[in-house]
Amino acid sequence: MTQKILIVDDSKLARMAVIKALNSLRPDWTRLEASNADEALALIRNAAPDIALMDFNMPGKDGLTLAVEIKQLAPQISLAVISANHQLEVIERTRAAGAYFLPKPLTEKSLGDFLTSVTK
Amino acid sequence: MTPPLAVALTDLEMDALTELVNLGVSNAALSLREMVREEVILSVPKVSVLARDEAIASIGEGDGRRLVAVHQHFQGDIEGRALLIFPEAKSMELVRAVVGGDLPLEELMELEQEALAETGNVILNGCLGTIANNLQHSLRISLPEVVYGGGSEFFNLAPPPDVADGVVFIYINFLVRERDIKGYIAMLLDFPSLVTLKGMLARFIERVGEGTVTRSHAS
Amino acid sequence: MPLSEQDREKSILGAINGGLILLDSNERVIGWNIWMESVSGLSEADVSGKTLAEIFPGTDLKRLPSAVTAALTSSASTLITNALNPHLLPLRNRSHRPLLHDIAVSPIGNQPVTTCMVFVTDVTMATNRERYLRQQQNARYDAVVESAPDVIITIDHEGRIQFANPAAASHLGYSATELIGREAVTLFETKSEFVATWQSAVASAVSTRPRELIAHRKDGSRTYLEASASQWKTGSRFFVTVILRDINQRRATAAALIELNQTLEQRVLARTAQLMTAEDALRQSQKMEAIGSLTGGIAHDFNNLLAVISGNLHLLKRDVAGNAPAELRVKNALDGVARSAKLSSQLLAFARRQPLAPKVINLGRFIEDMEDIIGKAVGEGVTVETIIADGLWNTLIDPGNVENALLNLAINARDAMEGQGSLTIEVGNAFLDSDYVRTHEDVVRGEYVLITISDSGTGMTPEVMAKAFEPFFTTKPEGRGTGLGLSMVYGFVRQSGGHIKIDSKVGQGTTIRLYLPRSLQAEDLLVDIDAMPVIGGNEMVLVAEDDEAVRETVVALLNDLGYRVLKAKDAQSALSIIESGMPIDLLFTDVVMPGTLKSTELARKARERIPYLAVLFTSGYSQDAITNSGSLDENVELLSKPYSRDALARKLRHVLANATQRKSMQASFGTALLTVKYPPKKLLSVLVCEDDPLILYSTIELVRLMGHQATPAADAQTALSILSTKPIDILLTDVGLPDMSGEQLVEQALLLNPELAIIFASGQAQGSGAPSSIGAITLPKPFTYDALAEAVASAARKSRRS
Repeated sequence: MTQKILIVDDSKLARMAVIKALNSLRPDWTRLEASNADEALALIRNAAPDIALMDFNMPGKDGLTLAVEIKQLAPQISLAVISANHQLEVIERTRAAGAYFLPKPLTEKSLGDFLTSVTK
Repeated sequence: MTPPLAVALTDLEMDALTELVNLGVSNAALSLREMVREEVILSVPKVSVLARDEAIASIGEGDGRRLVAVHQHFQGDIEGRALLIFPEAKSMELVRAVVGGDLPLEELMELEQEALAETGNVILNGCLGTIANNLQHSLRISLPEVVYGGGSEFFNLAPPPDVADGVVFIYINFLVRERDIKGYIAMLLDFPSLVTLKGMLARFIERVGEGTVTRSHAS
Repeated sequence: MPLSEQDREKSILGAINGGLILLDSNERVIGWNIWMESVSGLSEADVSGKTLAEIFPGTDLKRLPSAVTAALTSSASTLITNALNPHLLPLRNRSHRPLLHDIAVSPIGNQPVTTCMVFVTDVTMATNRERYLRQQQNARYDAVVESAPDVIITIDHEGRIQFANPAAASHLGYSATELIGREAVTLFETKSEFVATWQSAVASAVSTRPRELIAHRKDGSRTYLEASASQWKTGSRFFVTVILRDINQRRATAAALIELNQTLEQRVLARTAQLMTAEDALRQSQKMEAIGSLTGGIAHDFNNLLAVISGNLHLLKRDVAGNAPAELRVKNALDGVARSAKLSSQLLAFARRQPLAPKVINLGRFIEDMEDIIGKAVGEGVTVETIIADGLWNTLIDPGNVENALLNLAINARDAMEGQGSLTIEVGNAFLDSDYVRTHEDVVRGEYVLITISDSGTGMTPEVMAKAFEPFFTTKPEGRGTGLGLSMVYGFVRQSGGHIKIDSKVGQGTTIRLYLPRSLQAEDLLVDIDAMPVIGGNEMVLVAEDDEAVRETVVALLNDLGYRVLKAKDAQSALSIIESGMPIDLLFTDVVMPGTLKSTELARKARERIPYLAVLFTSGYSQDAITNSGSLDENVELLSKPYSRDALARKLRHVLANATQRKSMQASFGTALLTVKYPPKKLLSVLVCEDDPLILYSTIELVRLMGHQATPAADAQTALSILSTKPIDILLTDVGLPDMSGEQLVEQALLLNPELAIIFASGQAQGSGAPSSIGAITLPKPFTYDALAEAVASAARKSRRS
């Protein structure tokens, strides 16, 4: 079943890396890209994605705050926060917000496991 | 008048460099957390590539503020120096943050050199090592050295300066035990190293974005 | 022969003054030099091929393993210092002590790196030396700073607090962590003053003069602090340490005193109003008692004001000498004052305001004991005869006042005789019958003990006789008598329920008869309950007194008590004696003396030459009158005339002991700071009651240095009000307080809190029965810090038991 997936990261390169991984894992899914939280929220309201992946470290609103907002706005969306910051506290805060944690650099395996869990 | 930077990076190359710095600094934060045993938040508000004089000006030596830096030298496919720079007044706070706040002032001052050296060592190693690994080149990184002074002194350490040199200038924020310390990481590269770096970044982008350029729905 | 490469390598490795460990790409040992062998106790053979974790099992190697990995995979070098990672490896030096070490991990060769070097350096000596030096330098400093009651903060060159002592945290209500890193100026309301203090310390190497600052506690309340600051350098940095002393109490006290002085007049008015409203209440019960106490209050206040007026008039009289109209006006004013004074003294007498401590005594023995004194007072030209009747009755009387009265009368007699003649003192029983009572005022029929004093002097005219007992009335030439003596004798006799009569004829002499009521009780032993046995001393006393008679009396008394005496007739000659270098211990001076140098100036100059000189002032005016007229400081010692021998003796010891106490407190402060020997196991609350302000505050400081809480009280009433509002464990009190004796205070204090532990600090000799009977601890003055600490510790043990 095709899904719409939203990728939020201020770095174009990072978005490219995710898309590259998606190309092997779920080539037929629709991809949406946003480079900051405002763009992401706009896309959520207009385009209704099923899954959202967001970078933690972004200027303005960070990925975790965005995740919390999305959970309130559209609780049906599955969320994952991607971050190079693997400290325990960050992981816990992410989980507490109801999102998955994916470490950067993103591997195909970890992305694949996540996508499989949320589309069951 | 500052001479223009001889080597310019494209937007995507800057993007890539920023991502790498973020990865490196996060890695450093992890190692630092092991040392400090409390959450460490290292963030990178901005990455720039500047000419040497611009970098000195950015540090703001003009207002007579004294600085402290941890300095490491690297060699390999690219060569240069990496400096972790703080205002001297903040160094005591850094030491307290790393060591914990219970010690009396005099003991803290005794520890200062070692604490700065080790902390700087961890951050610079984490940063440089990650960048090097991702760019798939090898670097030999020296042991750390603590130096006091101002921007022009730091940036004029031997080998003798060359106007074409560039500085990868990274603003960092260091937050631990409720203490918020702002500083900079500066990587000084000579002209040939800058060129090499640019090439490595291009190759990195190719690897990462392989096959994605035509297929993504950029917003 | 040149060494082979291998041999050279071996000899280098053997010669290196540091530990060299070589690891291969699997992190296993391929090199382990002799230095490592000797500090680890493990030979190369033991460790070859093992990982560091295997070589040192059970040791937390912290960052070492990841450093090795980083060297091998990323060619990164890592520094692991002893300062941040103490005792990383279990290494020991030749004396088998732990070897403090730094570790440097570096890759050898280029990528792919096949060897990692771990280099171990011995930093034991440097570290220990630094630690030792620091401990030496800071041990005393730390002890003082940690326990100091003052707020002590250290700020860096940016004005941020880098250090705050426990007093800082507790006084300001912040935790130490909240203070550290904060800009110090944010704590203050008077920001520019604080900055000025800080900056002047930065600018000068000498510590600054204290400045008053206002700071805000965490809860927003204001606190007044006196700040002094000094800078110190270390390496390239400099810091400023600021000491902030709590002056809230001082300010409150000063403010209270100012208010008190300003409102004296209002209080008199207020009391008058009180009197009027009290009249209604009076109709219900015990009217006489009520009137008595209220009028006493008014009369007391009047006396204060009168004394001010009178004193100034007397001085004015000297100023206008030669200006006849002015002199007359002053005289008229003085007459008016005199009449008011009489009224007031009658009120006082009526209100029975003069404290009496009557005892049942046998006057015969008493007067026999006084023969010597009287003899000295009247001098060699006057023969003294005492006749004591047999079977003499006892009388209930204040012995101090009797002594005083007799001395006064004897001196009057001597003056009337101009130093040559005879004085007879008789004591016998007498009965005043109804006829006598009918013809005389204010006397009750009954049995009396009669003292008769007759002299062969000039005698008095009837006019003089009529006024003889008026206060300020005197026939003596200027400066030779205050005119208070006889009126006081009169007042005292009347108060004691007795009767006084003068008979005199010009040219024949004067006879004064004192009738004192008989007491049927057995004689009391002449030991005051609250007075210590009279102890003299052998210190050197300088007496400054212009009235010859009084001076001679004083000198006689002092000699009798054993003191060595020097005398001067005015302030100027007293000062000359002091400047001549005589080792004087106590200056005893009248307040009002003729001459250009005032007695207060004399005292000040004398103290410049002899810093811990005890000073005792005396005057015919009451204490209140003197201090309110501004001629004397509130905290000088004053002995009011007339005084008894006992009172003089006690006061002298008290003043001498306090002076010695002050001297020793300066010294003991120094030792206290360095040897805080009594960290308290339990924090106690100590109330210190002492009227000498310097001793009070020094004692408070010492108690706080011990780590206890200390609260000051300058008199008994304050102490009692504190006791009823605050939990106190120990009461440390002086024996002599301005408003009641130490014993009385303790009695009342124990009613408020029976568990209270008591310490008596006394400048007088030991031997009083009362204190020990209630289980109190005595602390003789002058006391040292150690003695005080000992007393507090014993009191603490007592209070724990109860």
